[in-house]
Parts: sequence; C-alpha cells; structure tokens
Amino acid sequence: MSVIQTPNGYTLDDSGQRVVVDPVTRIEGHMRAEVNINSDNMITNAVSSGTIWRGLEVILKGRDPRDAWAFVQRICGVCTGTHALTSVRAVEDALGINIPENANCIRNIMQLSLQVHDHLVHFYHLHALDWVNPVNALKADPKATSALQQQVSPHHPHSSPGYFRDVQNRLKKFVESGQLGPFKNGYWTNPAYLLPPEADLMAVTHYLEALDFQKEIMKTRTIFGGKDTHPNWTVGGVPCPINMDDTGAVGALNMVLLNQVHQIIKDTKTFVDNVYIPDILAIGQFYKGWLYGGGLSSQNVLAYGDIPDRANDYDLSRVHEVDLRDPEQIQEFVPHSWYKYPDGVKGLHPWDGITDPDFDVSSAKGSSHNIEQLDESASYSWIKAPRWRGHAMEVGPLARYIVGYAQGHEYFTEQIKMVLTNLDVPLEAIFSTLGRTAARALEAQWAADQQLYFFDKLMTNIKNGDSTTHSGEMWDPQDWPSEAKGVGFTEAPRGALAHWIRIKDTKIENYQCVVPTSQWRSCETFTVSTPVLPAPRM
Amino acid sequence: MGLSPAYAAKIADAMETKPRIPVLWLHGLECTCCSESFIRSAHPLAKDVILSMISLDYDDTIMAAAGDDTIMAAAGHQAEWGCVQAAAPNPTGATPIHKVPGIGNTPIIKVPGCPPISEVMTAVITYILTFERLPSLDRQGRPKMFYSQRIHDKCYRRPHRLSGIHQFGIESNADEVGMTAAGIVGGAVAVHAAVSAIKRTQQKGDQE
Repeated sequence: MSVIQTPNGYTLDDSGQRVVVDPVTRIEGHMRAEVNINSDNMITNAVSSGTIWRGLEVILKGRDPRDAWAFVQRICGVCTGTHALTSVRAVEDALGINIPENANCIRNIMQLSLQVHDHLVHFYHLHALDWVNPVNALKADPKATSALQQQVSPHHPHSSPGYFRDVQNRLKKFVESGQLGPFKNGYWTNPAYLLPPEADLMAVTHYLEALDFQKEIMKTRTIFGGKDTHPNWTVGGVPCPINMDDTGAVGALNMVLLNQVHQIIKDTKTFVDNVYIPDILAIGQFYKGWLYGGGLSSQNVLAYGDIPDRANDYDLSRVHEVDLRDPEQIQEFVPHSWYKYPDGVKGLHPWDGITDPDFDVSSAKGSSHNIEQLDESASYSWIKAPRWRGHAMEVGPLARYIVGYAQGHEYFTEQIKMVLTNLDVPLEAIFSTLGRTAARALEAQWAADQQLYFFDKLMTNIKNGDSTTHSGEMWDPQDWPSEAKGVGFTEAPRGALAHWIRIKDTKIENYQCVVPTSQWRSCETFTVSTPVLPAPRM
Repeated sequence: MGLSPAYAAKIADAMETKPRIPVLWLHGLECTCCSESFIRSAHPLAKDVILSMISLDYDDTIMAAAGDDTIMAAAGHQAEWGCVQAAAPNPTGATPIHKVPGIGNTPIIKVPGCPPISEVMTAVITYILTFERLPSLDRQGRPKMFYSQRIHDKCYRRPHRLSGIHQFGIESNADEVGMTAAGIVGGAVAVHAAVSAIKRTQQKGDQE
C-alpha cells in the first residue's frame, strides 16, 4: 500500500478494493483501467494502460517524407485525417513550403467536417449510453415525447407522436428478440440513469438519426479527398484540382461538386442546431449534478490552435505561448512506459525522441498472458507520458474552450454564457464532465459555422481567378537541404496534436508523434525529477 | 449487388424473420477506420444492419458494457495482410488473420481495404444472409464481385499517364497538378491501389 501526491495536487491511495476494466470500450484503440475504491465507493487511485503498440514511428524511418501522411493517418480512424494533416504540415515546415489559399480552405473544411462528425458520433454513439437508457425508452408515451421534442427544438421536422411510436415499436421488437447486441450487459437498472422515459426515447431516436446523418457530414472529405475514412492528402496543398471552365478534368472539383459540398455544410449546421445543441441542453438539465470528472481542466489546459484563416499563418509567438520548437517545453517521459531511453529518467523533446520498445510485466500479478493486476510502480503502459514544462495538461474541446474564454474570444464566450444561463449553473461548472460534454457540442456548432466561412472564402478565391490547390515548390528532393527538421500541429477532436520530423539525405531520420487521446489524456502518473515551474492557471 | 427485383422480398424475409446471427467484432492492431467506414454505409444503413440483420454481440467501439469477457469475416487491410503496422520492419510482428494459429480450416472471407468500403462490408453480410452461402472468392480469398478490378482501371487520370503526361508541376493543367502529386509518390499510394475498385462515388453521392 502506498500514498503518493501527484504534481497537480491529487492524492493517490492504492489501498482498498482494486477493480480492473479491460477493455475500456467506446474508444479508439485498446485501453485498460485499474482503479482502487474505498469503502465509500470513491476512486482513490487510477492506473490507465495503453495495451497495444503498433510501431509507426519505427516504420517511418528511412522512408520518403512525402509518404509519411499515408502511414500516420492510420494511427487513428476515428479522428481520420488529423494525423495526415499534421504530417504534411510537419514536412512543409521542414522544407519551407507554402501552400495556396485554396488548399488551406479545403484542408480546413475537411478538418472541420471531422470536428463536427467526431463530436456528434462521440456524443450519440460512444458517450450517450452513459446518460441515455434505451430500455427505459420503452416506457415512454410517444405523445409526451413529441411534446418534449417540440418544446426543446421547435424547428426539427421529426417530432410527431407517430414518428416516436414507430421508433419505440422497432426498439421494442429489438429488445423482445432477446438479442440486445451492443446494448447487451449495459447497466440499465443503475440509478445513475436520470432521464425520464420521454427524454430517453427522444435521445435514442436521435442516436438513430445521428447514425444516419453522420455519414453525410464526411462526404465533403470524399469529394475533396477521394475517399473517407482516410482521405488523400499531399505535401504542398491538396490533391484535388479545381476545374471550373476547361475540358479534360472529369472528377476534378466543378460546380456540381462544390454545390454538393455547400449543401452538406448547410445540412450539417441545421442538424447541429436542431438536434445536437438542444439535446445537450435538455439532457444537461437532468445531469447538471455531474460536476465531477473535471480532470485537469481547472488547472492546466493546453491548445495549440488550428484552422488558420490565412494559408501558412503559423506565427507561434503571436498567438501561442507554447513553443513546440523549444526543447524545454514539450517532452516525453517513459519512467512507467514499456520503452527505454538511454537515460531512463530525463524527458526528451520529440525532435530527439526515441521509440525503443521494452515490454516487461514481470512484477505484475498473474501471468504475461493473463495479467490480473498491473504494477504501477514499474512500467505498465505502451503510452509515453507527454508533459509541457513538466506539467500534465488537459487537451481537447474543453481545453480549447477554456483557452478561448480566457482570451475573451467572443464566439466562445457567448456560447458558454448561453449554456450556463440555460442550465442555471455557475462558470465553475464547466470544469467537469458536464462542461466537457457541452464543449464538444459547442465546438461542433462553431465548426459548422467555420465551414460556411471557408466555403465562402474558397468560392471568392475561385471567382477572383485563383484555382491553384497545390504548390509545386520544393517537391523535388534534389532541391532539399541535406538536413531539415520541422513540426506540424493540429487540434484533433480529442485535443492538441503535433508531429516532429527530422529529414536527412531526403529520407526520414526520425519521426515522433505526441497525440491527444492516448498520450495527453491517458498517460501515466509520475513526478518529474526536473524542477517543475508554476502551473499555468486560467 | 445487381439483384433482380424478385429478391427484394427474399431479402426482407431474411432480415425480419430469422434470429439474427451473432457477430463478434474483434479489434486487432487497428485504428478503428474499419468501424468508422462501416457506420457510413448508406445501403443498407448501419442502423438497419445492427438492429435487423446481425446481432453485434461484441464490439469494443460501440458496445455499452466494458470489461466483458465463431464463419469468420476479416475486415480491413489489418486483418487481411497485416496493414500499415506490418510494413517493414514490422516491429510488432503484425500477423494477418489466415496466419493466426488455430484458425485451421475455418472459412475466411477477406474484405481488404484501409478501410474497406462500407457498402462492400454490408453487402457481404447481406449476401450471406440472403443466399445462405458464402460469396465466390478469388484466389486471395476476396469476394470476386468486388475485387476484380484494380483502382487504376477506374482512374480518370490514367489516359493522361498513358499519353506520357506524368511529370509533376510542369503542366499548367490544374487537373494534373495535385492528384499526380499523390500518384507519383509511390510506396504509400500502393496501399490504396490494392483495394476494391468499386466506385468511390457511392460515398460521394449520386453524381456518377
């Protein structure tokens, strides 16, 4: 038994009962969580372990830097495209390539489609089953559900009692079949489910509506990137030419496809405004007591920024306090990871990062093929632990909204005020699971608006005679310096993401990714041995 | 799938009256793009597959329960060939489905792609449920109906390439710039080249 203090002021106590959850579901990838709970059923210790390693950083060594995006895009198929975009930016940074304005607009529309899609799917299809009880929806009165729907979102067209009765009947048939599929073994009798049956039926209906609609959102990426999931990208711009007037380019962007993009974007905004936002407010009314689970959001949050208004606008000193090039700021540590560094304790800046696997579970309870309990005093995860100036940081939509609020960004501030007023909770309430869930919805709304902005910008450029989507500069490796290094970053749906690349003799010498979901958000706990600077506070 | 209208009733019958076949979706060394592609299926819709066609009893990505303790269909490049993590030097020793010990003579249908096209995945399911047999497979174990053409055969740039226009960045034709850039990089793009050549326009809409 031991008690330790984390650098962020939490006390971890591994006495009491140990509970192991493996796999953690409704995430991308493979994760295990072990927690200790005390006699009051409160969690006193948490151990999160990434249970697979795929070795992409090793695979990239010696390859053509212009190919890297296609490999790293496969890091994540949920936040598909984000890693590819980060990668082409890293290579462009290393080689000093400027991309055309049209490429910037198209990349932004693709990335914003992902933001909306990811948040929508995250809420309805991954997260909602923690709040919404499909079994309880069977008890709902369709008329009352219809009244509720018309009250929370008067403009949503699907709101008749008959519509909800049909959904309920289908759900009833599904439950009576005894084959509950993905809903099997849910904790449906748990008193933590707080929605009345009518709200459950409305939410389950929107689970299905959102499942139908989400595929539309990503068609923008199929048009611009040829396919989705995992569209095509290219260093120097985007691989979709624009041809408004000439012959011979069947399949290039033309008026038909641009019209289609415009319609998808407008429909996306309508769905977010009429379904997602009203649901967050309606469901939030019942769960506004969920003001725990705030993580580090009231202490340390980190956002790199993304969606540049102008192409090639990455002046870090003007917008950001974070300097991704500073060897003292972003570092990765491996004291509890299944990797080894020559000096095991010191953190490494990603340009000097090392990925050298060193799997060892000899001190865990059980066997290597059936681990009963990990030993958190030893190595216990495939995740490297990133730190900013020695601090663990929360990243993601809530982090971005807190930074935006602190900066006085008007759009974010107005949205946050709207939620606080509607739910009648104080500002501090955003540092919570409730706040994080709301931030995703608000960001989806922002992203839908931004898509319209960049679509207009793209059309204005084309109207003014600019149809360039790719810069040919520095494409030929013969023009490259013998050595170069670069960093690319984006705001992935789950948070700040950056890739660092070193190029030597036209090949990748080193490639390191520091990623949000599996690193910033679920890394190991430890106390860094280097002096810790005062934590940034909002 | 090119079925005659007479089959519509048969499909509807298969969907509505039989107990749904239990499906366990095991996620190996993957990035979940297969699941993301699956939920983008337009015909049939993903919700109809889950609610009416199969019983998806185990899937890390969407199932409500956590910490829970089988014809085999393998979806995606990962399951077929080992996908991106099997690229040299394959540091994790990633292994495709047919080389997993103990698989034996279990019939395997390979549906490769990174990710596989959503409608190809759902069509394989629909085919099995409707005809109560496995689709004809090519020598690599892939359904013949989807994997008989290379993606290059459908590329609208192919005539340009065959005409000798392939040098990037020289032509003023906007059509060449960009996609050619993606095309000439080589290795990585081969990942896409090996996939089913069924038209991507299924996801794009109804333009073609």
